Amino acid sequence: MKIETLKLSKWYGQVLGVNNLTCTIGPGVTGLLGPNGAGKTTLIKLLTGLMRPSQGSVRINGEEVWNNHRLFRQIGYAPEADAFWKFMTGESFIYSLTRMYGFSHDEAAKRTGRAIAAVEMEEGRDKKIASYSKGMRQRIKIAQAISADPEILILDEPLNGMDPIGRRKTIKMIRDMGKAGKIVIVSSHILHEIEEMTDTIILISHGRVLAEGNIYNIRELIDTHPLKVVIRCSNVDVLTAKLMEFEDVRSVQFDRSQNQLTVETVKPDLFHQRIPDIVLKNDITIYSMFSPDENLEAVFSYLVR
Amino acid sequence: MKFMARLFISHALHNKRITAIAVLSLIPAVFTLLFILLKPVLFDTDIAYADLYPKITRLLYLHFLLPLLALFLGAAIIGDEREEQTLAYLLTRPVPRYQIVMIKLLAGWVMLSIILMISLLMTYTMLALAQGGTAWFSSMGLFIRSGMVIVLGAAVYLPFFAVAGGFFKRPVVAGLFFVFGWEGSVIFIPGKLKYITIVHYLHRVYPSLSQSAGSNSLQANILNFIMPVKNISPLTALAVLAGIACVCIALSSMLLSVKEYYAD
Amino acid sequence: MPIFRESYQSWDGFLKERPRTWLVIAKAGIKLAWSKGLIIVLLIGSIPFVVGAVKLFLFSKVQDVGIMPAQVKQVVEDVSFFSNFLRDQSFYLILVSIIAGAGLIVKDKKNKSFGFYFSKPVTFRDYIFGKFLCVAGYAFLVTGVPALILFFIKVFISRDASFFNTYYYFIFSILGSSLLSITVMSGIVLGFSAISNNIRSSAIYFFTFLLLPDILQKTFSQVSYMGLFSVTALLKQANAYLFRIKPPYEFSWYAMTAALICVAGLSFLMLKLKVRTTEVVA
Repeated sequence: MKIETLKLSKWYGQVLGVNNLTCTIGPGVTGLLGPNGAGKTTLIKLLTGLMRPSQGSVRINGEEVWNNHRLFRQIGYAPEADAFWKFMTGESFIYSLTRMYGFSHDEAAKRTGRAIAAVEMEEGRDKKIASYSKGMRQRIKIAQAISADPEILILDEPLNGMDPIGRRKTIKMIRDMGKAGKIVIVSSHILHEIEEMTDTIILISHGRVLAEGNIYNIRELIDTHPLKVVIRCSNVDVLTAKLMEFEDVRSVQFDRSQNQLTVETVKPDLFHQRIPDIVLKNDITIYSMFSPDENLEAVFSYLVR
Repeated sequence: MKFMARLFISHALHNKRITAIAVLSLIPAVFTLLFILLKPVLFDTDIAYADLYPKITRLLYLHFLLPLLALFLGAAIIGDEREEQTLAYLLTRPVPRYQIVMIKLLAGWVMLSIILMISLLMTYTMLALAQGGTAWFSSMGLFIRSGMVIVLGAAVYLPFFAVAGGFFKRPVVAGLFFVFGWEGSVIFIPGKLKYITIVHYLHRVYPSLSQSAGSNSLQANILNFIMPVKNISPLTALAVLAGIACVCIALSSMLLSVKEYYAD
Repeated sequence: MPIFRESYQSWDGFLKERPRTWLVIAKAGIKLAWSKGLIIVLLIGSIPFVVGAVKLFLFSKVQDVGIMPAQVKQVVEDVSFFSNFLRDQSFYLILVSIIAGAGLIVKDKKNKSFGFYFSKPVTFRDYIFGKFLCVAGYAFLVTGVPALILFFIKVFISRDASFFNTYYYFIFSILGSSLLSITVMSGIVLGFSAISNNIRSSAIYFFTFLLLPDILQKTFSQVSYMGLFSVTALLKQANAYLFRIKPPYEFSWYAMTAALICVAGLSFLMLKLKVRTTEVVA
């Protein structure tokens, strides 16, 4: 099972929503990341067949998505909009949408119960959606997307309005679904949310894919931006002098008062292999070592800038 | 499909629009009752109750309520879901888009027909009782035939306005212009222009409902000479109406199939 | 104590002059209402004006030659020419009111914008007056403006000043009649816009309110006092009084005035009930 886009473009009049986007999304959780107006929602609408590509194609297992209702048996979609048939209860809302997958009454009822349990909405299932809090409505939205147990789950800003406990549980559920081999696409502009869910991202800006793949691999590929490593140790001077001998170390800034140095290196793997040897030979104690760069925010800010 | 039809009927029942339609549809019945009760006191004209029923059916139902309520419902068939942003749920189910439209039209037609028939029955009953108890049975044929025209009209107007809802940004204005501007004036003008209306064919299905065309003015005679109008048979009118309904259902289904969903 | 409305003003000091917030609201509404649909209605609504102008020109030309078809003479010499023109424009007035006005307050309700308005120094009066001007601006283009132009065409092409000397008051009649129609229609459409949940409903309720009494009158009786329940009949009656011609209905001007005041009161009530920021009932 895979989703493929090939030179996908979408215009809204003069505005380019998605620009020549080519990517492949396979099983697991994929984070769709980008600033506001990057084209995430446009891409999601193209993936879910709500919009037709202006150019290029979107295929799921080789089949075009647009106007292909049969493919929707395998897709579960939770839109960003806070939209429901508010007169319905949470349970009847999920049940109705599950029945539309073609399940019988009994089967749909069973699946509805499972979905409600998965999002922990048992207590509120019989209440009208109009009386739900934002977080409860968000959970119902996710429940209707997972009720048919689809192979592909597309969630647009799923954690919007959720409290911290709800977020944690939803993130865990998403990760579990990814581990189960489903294709889960989660769109967000909140970096740490995506980081908690997945290592695989598609970074979009101005309708184009800036980067695709594992966060750490992407980081390594950005060799125009050396990796920063911050080390607190017992002997800043000696460590600085030793590190400066290597060509791949671009710069070292040190602060004696803090016993801290900040190293910029273009070969992080080599750097990390070298460090134990240096500290052992020179009797240096390392108090802490971390890379402020090896996260999504750094990747994001480098690429989007 | 059955489940979807029940679902859309349930949606309609919970929609304030249906409440408004039901209230509006009671207006003829309410005013009929008022007329019967107050006629001896307030009205100086002498109108026989037997003549009043065709007049009410023609003026209030056929020329006003039916197209207005069909416009109210038809223009919102997909528009409502789009405005409430729930269309995304429907379009991402494994259901062909044309089926969504057709089932919604079916649900709308059922609702509108039931509401109008109840209102018509109330009006008919009150007028029949005012004439004497046996009139209810003896004139039942009139009620059934006029009811069928109303139901048929709903089946044609609803998809017609659903198409308007798909094409125009302001389908209500376009619909009001068509019904009360175009149909409202052309139906009384001698000549072939009335062929480009729906209400003309509804009149021809049951000619007893029509106002007698008796204009003898110079303009009417000239128009009749230039564009002589042959009175079409009820069967022909029925066929034309069926054709209009089928074309509009196909068009409105096609519109949803090709249109993109931009909301959110 | 129940809080019905937040319209407090929270700045220190005083304003040098009263800001014309209604003008800002009106300008914004007029710009937003400008659309293809409105342009089409305005263009179609101008056809009767063109026909009327042609009739006036033809009348003056055939008068010069000495030929006077009876029907043309009757149409153009009749003092009810301008009154009839305004009356016949009522359908376009209704359409313009729907296009320009049906969504004005509904959209603010839907987008919860009342809080934005009334947390500024904008009063209920400013808001309603601004919204009213959004409708009135376009409505005047299909009523008062073409009627006035026709009047001045007639004055201009008249061979002498006798027409103007006799019928100078038509300027005030035209202004009065069109302003009255515009005010009543705008009030009603804004009222329905305030109580409805969407533009479609608002338009349908407005149209039903206007047309239904006429149809009921035709259906049940030809008795003229039924016109008291019809806004269009009331406006026709007012139109006749303003042009000093024989009114079409038998009810008197004070019955007509009372009925119009009731209609205005109903519109005001709908607006007052619904145009508010918050309603907290203890």
